[in-house]
Amino acid sequence: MISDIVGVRRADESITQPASFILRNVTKRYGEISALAGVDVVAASGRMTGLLGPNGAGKSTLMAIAAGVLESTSGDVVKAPGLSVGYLPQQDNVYPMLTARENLRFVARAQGLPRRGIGPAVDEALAGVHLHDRADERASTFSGGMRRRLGFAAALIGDPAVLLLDEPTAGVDPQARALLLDLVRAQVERGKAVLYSTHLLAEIESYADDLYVLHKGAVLAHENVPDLLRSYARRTIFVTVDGDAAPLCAVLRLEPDTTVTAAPRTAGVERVRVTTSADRAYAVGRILSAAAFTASRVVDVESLEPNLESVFLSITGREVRD
Amino acid sequence: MAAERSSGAIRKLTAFDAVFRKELLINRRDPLLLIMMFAVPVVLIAFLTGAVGGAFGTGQPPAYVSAGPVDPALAHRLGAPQRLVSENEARQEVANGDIAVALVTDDAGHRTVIADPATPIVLSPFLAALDSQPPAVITPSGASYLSNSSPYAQTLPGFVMFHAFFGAAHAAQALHRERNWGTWNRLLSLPIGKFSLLVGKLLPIALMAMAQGLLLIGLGSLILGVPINNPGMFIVANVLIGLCLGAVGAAVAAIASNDLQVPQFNNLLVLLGGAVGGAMVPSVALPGWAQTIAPVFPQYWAMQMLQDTMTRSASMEKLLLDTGVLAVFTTVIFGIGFRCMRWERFRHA
Repeated sequence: MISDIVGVRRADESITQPASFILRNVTKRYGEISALAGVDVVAASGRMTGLLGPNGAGKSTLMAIAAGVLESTSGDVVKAPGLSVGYLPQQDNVYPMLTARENLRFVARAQGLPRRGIGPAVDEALAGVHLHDRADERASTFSGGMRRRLGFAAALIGDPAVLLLDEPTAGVDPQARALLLDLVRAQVERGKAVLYSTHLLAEIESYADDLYVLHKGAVLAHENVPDLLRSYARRTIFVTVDGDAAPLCAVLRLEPDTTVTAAPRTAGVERVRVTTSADRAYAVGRILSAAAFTASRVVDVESLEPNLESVFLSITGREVRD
Repeated sequence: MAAERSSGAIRKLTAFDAVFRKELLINRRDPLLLIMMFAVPVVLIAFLTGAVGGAFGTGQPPAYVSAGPVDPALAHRLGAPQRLVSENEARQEVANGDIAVALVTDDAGHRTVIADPATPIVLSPFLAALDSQPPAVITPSGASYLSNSSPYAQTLPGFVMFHAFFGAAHAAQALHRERNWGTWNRLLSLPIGKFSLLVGKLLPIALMAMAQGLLLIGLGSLILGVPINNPGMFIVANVLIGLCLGAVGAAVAAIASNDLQVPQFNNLLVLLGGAVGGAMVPSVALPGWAQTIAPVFPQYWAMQMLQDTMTRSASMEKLLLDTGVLAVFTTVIFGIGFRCMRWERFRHA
């Protein structure tokens, strides 16, 4: 169900910006299969809200419900009255037999833009995605990246306050991805609320302000990105030991919330992998103390900073999905 | 509240207009539809009419009704008449297409055959079986049969209508292509509603089918000398046929899982319904079982209505029956398409 609210309201205390678009307790069932199980998501103005999840997590279903394309089984899509929403579906979504301009004119007409405003709106959208010089060519002649940009331009028609972007960079080359991400960021800076779905961790890490981790139809984590890294990331430290590392491993395994694995000895040294939620200084200190205690000869300690990938794997597990 | 409703209606209308124009533009750029609906029937009418004009006769005298005394020897050659009727009833039955031939014998034993000008291929075996001096053959309006009948009376409406229904496959594929292009969910996100969306997608092809029928049969009528005795109802017939094939397009799109399945399902309907419905061969010349099942196909009623408004001079009651049945077919088939449409399938497997 999609309903309107007067003004904006906060649905989630961890979001500090005013909410523009709220998905509240949304469920979607296909017979016995539950695609979404009570999902709450808030997209705030001037922020890019990432929706991260493995394949089959329910991201596209949630996006389609937010766009009004799918009906939820229960729950609400709450938005301010008159709030316009631009939607970029996951796959290519342009008419190959129409030119870029005709594609956008169709969307502009269908969105109900005034007749006189259609031409300028289309020109502006084409210029915004750097396709103004190809405006009168059929979309069938475009590369994948150009079609994606055209689809993005279609989502921008009518200058919507909320942008729902479902894997906008899927299947595009690195240059096109960088351009699309810059365009998205520019929209955020203009005050748009952007809900951005992806399974590419680097995009979220670099561009998103807030993050929802979706897994098997449920939100497993929701925080801003730095907080999430602090909360969930596990630091990985590689310790190289000259000689037998077994005594050191035995002592380190006594540390709380620590996992220790040792690789087979090669060239007289053993490489020990320690993963821990402790901060770097504390963890390295404990490793060196344990080495001194066991008289292990540590020749190298390498600490890897936690990143979103480790957060993601930590939250969703390492199971391979279809 | 009223203002909101009005604004919502205007938005829907605007979105409908956008979908309709977009479909017209895409269809204009797709020559396949134009070839199938316009070029192919013209070729078939030009080259196959000679063959169809007499090649499909069974050689057996057709069923007939008789007005006046029945000569037992004649009944032996022709078979017993289906009914004994008055001369006026005989004329009306032939005019309505209920029977192809009526034999009228006056008190002096002079025979007249009343024959349906739309079904010339059954006349020859009937006349041959009379085994007498050829009688004067007239149309239900009393005009000379030979100067008013033409094989084009069958092939012109038959082939045009037959190919119009191929347009249903194009309509169904237009719906499936939205999934292939990834634009199905964009359409669903428009402020238009599913019903208007479906109508907006199908209406351009329905209009093209209407134009096809009016243009090809209209021009063919002028060039080939096939009369259109009831132009008003002839237009109604073509409008209904256009709407009906649009509805068939919706149903085929709903039944088919993807665009590759569309022609298979549609061909089944077009070929079976077209053949049994009398588009290729007059249904009165088909075997009894085929004549029995013919009315379950919309093409049968489409063909009836076209011939009733063209070479026949069917009564208004008969034309209203044709109209009503075609309208019911259109509504029910569209309803099936709308209800069974896989709206939430955004892309093909």
